[in-house]
Amino acid sequence: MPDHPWPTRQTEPADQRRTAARCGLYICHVCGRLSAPADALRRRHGLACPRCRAALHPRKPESLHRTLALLVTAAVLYLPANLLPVMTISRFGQDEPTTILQGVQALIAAQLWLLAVVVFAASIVVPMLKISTLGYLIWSVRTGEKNRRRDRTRLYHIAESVGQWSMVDVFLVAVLVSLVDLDFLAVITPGHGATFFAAVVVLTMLATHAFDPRLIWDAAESSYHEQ
Amino acid sequence: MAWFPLATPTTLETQLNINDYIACTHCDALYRRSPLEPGQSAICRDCGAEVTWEGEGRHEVVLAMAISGLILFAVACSFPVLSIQVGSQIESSSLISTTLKLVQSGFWGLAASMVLFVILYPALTFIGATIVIAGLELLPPKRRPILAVTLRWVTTLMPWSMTGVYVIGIFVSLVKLAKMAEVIPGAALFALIALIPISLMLRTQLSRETLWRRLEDA
Ligand SMILES: [Zn+2]
Ligand SMILES: [Zn+2]
Repeated sequence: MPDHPWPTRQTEPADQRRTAARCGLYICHVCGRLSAPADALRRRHGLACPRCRAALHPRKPESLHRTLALLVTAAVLYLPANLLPVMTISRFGQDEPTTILQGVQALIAAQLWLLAVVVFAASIVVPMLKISTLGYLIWSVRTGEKNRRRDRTRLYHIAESVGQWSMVDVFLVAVLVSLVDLDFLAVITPGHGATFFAAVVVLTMLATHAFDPRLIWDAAESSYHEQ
Repeated sequence: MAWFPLATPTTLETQLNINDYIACTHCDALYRRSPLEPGQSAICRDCGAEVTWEGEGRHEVVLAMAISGLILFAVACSFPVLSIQVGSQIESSSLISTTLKLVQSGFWGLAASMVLFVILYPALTFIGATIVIAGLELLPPKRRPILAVTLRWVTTLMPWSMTGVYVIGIFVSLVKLAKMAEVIPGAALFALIALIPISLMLRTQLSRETLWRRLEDA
């Protein structure tokens, strides 16, 4: 890692921070350019970035509502994703539907511990942690929590970076379905649980994207809301 | 790094050159830019996130990664990923055949996940990064707006390309099937494995900030 020109401060940052919003500046979410309203492009629906032409907002619009809506949908779909079979193994004329948890059980039964841990972490732990983390972040912003802003921002970072790993099970099903199609041995067909599961992963990724971590910081700094 | 007293919105900042400033996208902290060495990153002192990093001088690396990514990706698409052999019968699966199989079974959501996250988005990231870096060198400034559009979708699609996750999925299925039949890894599997460090390099070596600044300066 290269040296940081600006030392990281370990104490909790002061409430009166110098922020872009307080100086009346917009950060472009696509290219990162700062714009004052005076040099931004004017569009029918508001301001746009002069460099990349993306729409400019002081904060992601309707961030909390959108995040919550996506999160609730993901949480609801998480039930059929786990209860419905993700695939059906047909062997010797017998159909054997498998849910995600049963898949993990089969790996444990076969004593493939490492794989069992990987699949369990990716399919069960990560989505649940993601949904509860984002839920907690929304709640903390709503209640105006002022402490541990740095830690909560980090939490958001983690939720952001682990998102796509839950897709492992969906891709596992895809590979097995295309490969195991031997009438005399076994045939694997996909189940609707896999579709629901893919939807959950996409929805939680969209929810993370919809959340604006700057709201964590705004709670302690009233001036943004006054504008 | 100087800290100014709080300014009232609009007045003070607009008189200063806005390009001298940069803000953290995670906590909105505003900083005055100080020059960075190539490869050096600036960390936000309020929230600890990376504010920017200097990607000047890394464009060749990004271009090399993007082009090798494209070649490997072509290999990954044209050869089987895995084959299983039972007796004399061989069944192969490639990225394309996997997608077709899901379409045939009527599982459109799964087929779409394959097409978008495993085939289209990774491919577009490699193509896009090649266009942007090569275009900065070759295209006259008049044509640069194409590059801005391209850079915009490259950075938007990057988090959605899931080659690494797909490879883990293949490994799990490989182990699962090994008991049942003889599993033969195909050329595409090796290409996909090689793509993981390449996409990672591309993702970390491409400085969004630096490229946008270059595009604007031109
Ligand atoms: Zn922009
Ligand atoms: Zn920050």
